[in-house]
Amino acid sequence: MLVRAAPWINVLRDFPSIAIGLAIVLGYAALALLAPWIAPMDPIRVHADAVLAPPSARFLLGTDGNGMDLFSRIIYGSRYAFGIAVPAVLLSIVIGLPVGLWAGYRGGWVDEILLRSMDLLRVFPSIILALTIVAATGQSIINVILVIGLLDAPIFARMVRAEILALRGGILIESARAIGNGTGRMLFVHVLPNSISGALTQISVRMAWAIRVSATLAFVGIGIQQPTPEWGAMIRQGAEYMVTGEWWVALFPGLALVTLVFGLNLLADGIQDWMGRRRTQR
Amino acid sequence: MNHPAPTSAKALDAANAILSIRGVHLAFASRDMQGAVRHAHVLNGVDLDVGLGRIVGLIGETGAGKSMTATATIGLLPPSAEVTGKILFEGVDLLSLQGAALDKVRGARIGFIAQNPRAALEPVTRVGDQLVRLIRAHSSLDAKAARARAIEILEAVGIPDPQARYRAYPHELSGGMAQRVVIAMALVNQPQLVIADEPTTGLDVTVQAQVLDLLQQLVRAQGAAALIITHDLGIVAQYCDDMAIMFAGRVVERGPVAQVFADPQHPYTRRLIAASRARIGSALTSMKSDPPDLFRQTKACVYADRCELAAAVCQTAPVEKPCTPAAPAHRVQCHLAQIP
Amino acid sequence: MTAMTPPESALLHLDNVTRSFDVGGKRPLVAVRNVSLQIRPGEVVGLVGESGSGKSTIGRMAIALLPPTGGRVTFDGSDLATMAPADLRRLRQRMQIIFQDPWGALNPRHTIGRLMEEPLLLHTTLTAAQRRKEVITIAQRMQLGLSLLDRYPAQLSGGQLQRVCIGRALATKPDLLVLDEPTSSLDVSVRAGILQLLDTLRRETGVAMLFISHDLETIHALCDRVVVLYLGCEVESGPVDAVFKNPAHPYTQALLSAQLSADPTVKTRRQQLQGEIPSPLAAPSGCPFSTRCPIHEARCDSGLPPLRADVSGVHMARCLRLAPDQFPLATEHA
Repeated sequence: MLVRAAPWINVLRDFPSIAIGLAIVLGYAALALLAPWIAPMDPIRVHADAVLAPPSARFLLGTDGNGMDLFSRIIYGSRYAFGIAVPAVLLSIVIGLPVGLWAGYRGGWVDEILLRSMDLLRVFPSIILALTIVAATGQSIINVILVIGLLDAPIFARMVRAEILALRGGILIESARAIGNGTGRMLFVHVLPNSISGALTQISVRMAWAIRVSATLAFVGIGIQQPTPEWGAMIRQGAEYMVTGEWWVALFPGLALVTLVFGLNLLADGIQDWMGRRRTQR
Repeated sequence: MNHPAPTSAKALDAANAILSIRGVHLAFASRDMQGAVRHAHVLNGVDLDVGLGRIVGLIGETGAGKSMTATATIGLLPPSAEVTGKILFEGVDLLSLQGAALDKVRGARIGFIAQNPRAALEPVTRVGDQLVRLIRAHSSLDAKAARARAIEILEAVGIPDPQARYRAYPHELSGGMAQRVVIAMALVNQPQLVIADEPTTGLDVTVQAQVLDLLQQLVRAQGAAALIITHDLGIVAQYCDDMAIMFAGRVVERGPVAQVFADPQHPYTRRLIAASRARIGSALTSMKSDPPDLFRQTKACVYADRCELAAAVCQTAPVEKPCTPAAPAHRVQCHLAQIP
Repeated sequence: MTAMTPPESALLHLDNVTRSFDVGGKRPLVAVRNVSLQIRPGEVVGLVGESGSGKSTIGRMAIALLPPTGGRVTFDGSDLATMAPADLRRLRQRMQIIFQDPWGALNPRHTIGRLMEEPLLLHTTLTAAQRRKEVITIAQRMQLGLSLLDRYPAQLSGGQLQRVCIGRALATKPDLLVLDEPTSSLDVSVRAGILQLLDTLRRETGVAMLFISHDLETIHALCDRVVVLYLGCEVESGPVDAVFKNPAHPYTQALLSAQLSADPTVKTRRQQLQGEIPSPLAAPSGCPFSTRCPIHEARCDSGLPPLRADVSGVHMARCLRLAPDQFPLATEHA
C-alpha cells in the first residue's frame, strides 16, 4: 500500500495548509505558555506617563488608553484565547461524543432530542444565543466556557452519529456481533474508533469559533472586561480611539485575533484534505 | 443464440483491424511508505487488435490492466497518467487527440459501456433526456426526431413500455434495465466499435444472459466490432470471436477463441482455462496467486515469477516479439511456447 | 408419508421461517416466506438464488443476527429468539459467518493478528501467549505468511483477507459455518484456492456449512444438498446431484441453462426468461415465479404451491405443474 502510515514530513510537505496552520497555532500556544517569560512588561501595569503612546522602541506596539503595554497584553491575551477555547472544546467533546454514540447506535429518544436541538440551534444565530445566555447568567470566564461548550456539543454529536449511521450500513458491526462481541465492547473497540475521525477534524474549527465568540462577547461588553488583557476587550477599547487617530490600540489585537483564527481554520482545512486522501487510499 | 462473426480469423493484423493498440505503456506516479516517488506500471507494452466486425474478449485478473486499456482508448485517463504508444482507430492515433477532436470520436464512433450502469447515468436527469442529449451532440437531428430515435433504441434494447420509461430517472430502474439503457446510449449513434467494461457485473445470472445476448445481437446487426472486458471465461467462450489474455499490463496471448481454448500456448492461459474447469481437490486449484508487483518494471517476461515452467531466459532476456505460428492470428509472448 | 428428517438430529433447524421488514409503505417487504431448512452435523447445504431471493437474510437468521418474524430458528435444540443475550453471546462460538466483503467485515484499525485473536479473547481463557501461539497455528493452516500478522487489512489482498476471516471464524472450532457468497468479490484466480481451503477444512474438522451463493458450479462442487430460492420462497431442494441433473422446477431449469460454460464447443441452449425478477415489495401472491414462468397457468396465481417430493422423499419442489408420477409425495409444508 502506498501511503498507509505517512511520516510526518510527508504530510507537512503534501499539505502546506497543515504546515502553516500548525506553525501559527503552535506559535500562539508557545506565547500563551511562555507569556511570563516572553512578555517584556507586566500587562496590567499602568504607565501613566505613556498613555496612548504610539509604537516605539520601548513599547513595541504602543500603549492603550490606560497606559498598558500592548505587546505584553497581546501575548497574555493568547492565554485567554486558549484558556477559553481548549476547555470549551473539551467540554463539547465530553458531552457530544457519548450523546452522538448513543444517538447513532441506539436511536430512540436520545436521537430525537439530539436532532431537535440541532434544529433549534440552526434557528438561532449562535452568537446571539451565546450573547443572550452569558448576559443572563453572569459575565464570568466560566460561564463563557460553559456556554460555548454546550452550544458546540451537538456538532460533535452529529458528526459521530453520522459516521455511526454509515457504519451501520456496512457489515462491520454485524461481523463484530457475530464473532461474539457484547454491546459495550463493540462500542469501545469497534464503533468508536471508526467514527471519530470526522469529529476530530472539527476540533480545530470549533476552537477558532470559540475564540471568535469570546472575543465578540468581550467586544460587545459582555463577558471579560478591562483591565483583563483579552483581545476582544482590547479591541472594544481600541474602537473608541480609531476615530481620534490612535490606530494601534485596536489594530494589533485585531491582527492577533484574525491570525490565530485563520491559522486554526487553515489547519482544519488541511486536516480535512489529509483525511480525505487517507480515506480514498484505503 | 450465437450470432457468428462476418469476417474470418485470418485477418487479425493492423490492416484489417478497426482498433490497433501498439506498445502502450501507462504509469502512475505515487509515493511509497518512505516518501519516495515510485511509478506503478499499469500497462507494460500492450499490443492488441480488434478486427472489423469481430467481438474480442479481453480477460485477466484484477490489476492486469484490462480496464486501463479501455480507459486509455477512450481518452479518460487522469492528468497524472503517463502514457506512451499508439492506439490507432480508423487510422487515427487516439492518444494524440484532444478536446473537440476526441469528443467527435467518443460517443459516435466508439461507444462505451461502463461497469456500473448507475454510475454511468446522471442521477438527476431523465433517462430519455440523456439519450437525446447524446443523439443531438453527434447528429443534426432536431428535438422531435431525436426523441423518436431515443424511443426506438429503448425498444431495441428490450425495455418494456419505452414511452413511459423515457421519463424515468436512473434510480427508478432495476440493475438490468439500467444496463440496457447504458447499452442503448453506447449504440444509439451507430458506433463502429463498442467497448464494454465488465458489462454484467452485479447483474443476476438470468439477467446476465439476456444482456449479453442483446449486446451480441445489436453489435452484429450494426456490423460493429466490440471489445468486451471481463474476468469470466464463460462470457469469452460463449460470446466472443477472438480473445486476448492480459497479465501485469501485457497481452500474453491472443487469438481466435476456438483456437486459444483448444490449444492454449501461454502457461497463464493454460492455468486460467484449467482452473475454470477444475473440480475441487485437483492440484490445479492451488495456483500461486500473489498479485504481480506493478512497481517493478521489467523488460523480461512479466509472468516469470509465477510460472512453473520459467527458465533462466525468462527472467533476464527481453520477451521476443509475438511468435507467428501457422495460425497467424494466434500469438503468444512466451520464450517456451511450442509453436509449429 | 412425510419427507422431512426428524428435527432432533438436526444441528440447525429453520422451521417455517418468515421474515418481513417494515419499509414504511403500505405493504411490508417479505424477504423470506415460509422457508424450512435443516442442517445436520457435518453436512454442507447450499443456498442458491439471485437478488431478492432472501438467501442472505436466511443466512443471518441462521446465526441469530436477525430474528425471524414468523417461525422458529433452533440451534442444537435451543430456540435462538428466546435465549438470554449472555447465553446467545456464548453460543456464538459454535456458529460463525463468513461475509462476502472481507474488507467491510474487519476493523480497519486492528492488525491481522489482533483480528484473528479476537474470538479467542472473547470466548476462551487462554493467556496472551497461548492466544498468540494459536493464532500462528491458524495462520499457517490458512496458508497466510506470518509476516502478515502485523499488517493492517488495507495492506492485504482480497484472497488473503478472506483467509483471515475464515481463520477467525474457525478459531473457536464452531459446529456451523455460514458462508455468504465468500468468493463473489474475489478475483477468479483466487476463488479456487479459497474453495479448496474450505473443502479441506470441512473434511478435517467436520464442520457443517450453509453455503450461500449464486454460482451453481461452486455449489455443485462443495455441497451435499441444495435449496433453490426465488423471491423468498423455497422452490426446489434436494441432494445436489439430483437437483442439478434433474431440475424439476422451471426456475431451476432456467438458472442451470443460464450458466455460461467456459468451453466454446459447448453451446448452452438457453431457456429465455421474460422480464426480470420482480421487487420483493411487489411479489406475486401465488407462486413467486408466476410472472416469468414459461409454463405458467392461471391456477398458479391462487396461492403458494405446496412442496411435493419425489419417491426418494428428499428431492422436493414447489410447482403445480410437476408430474404427479414423478413427485407423488406430499410434505408437511403447505
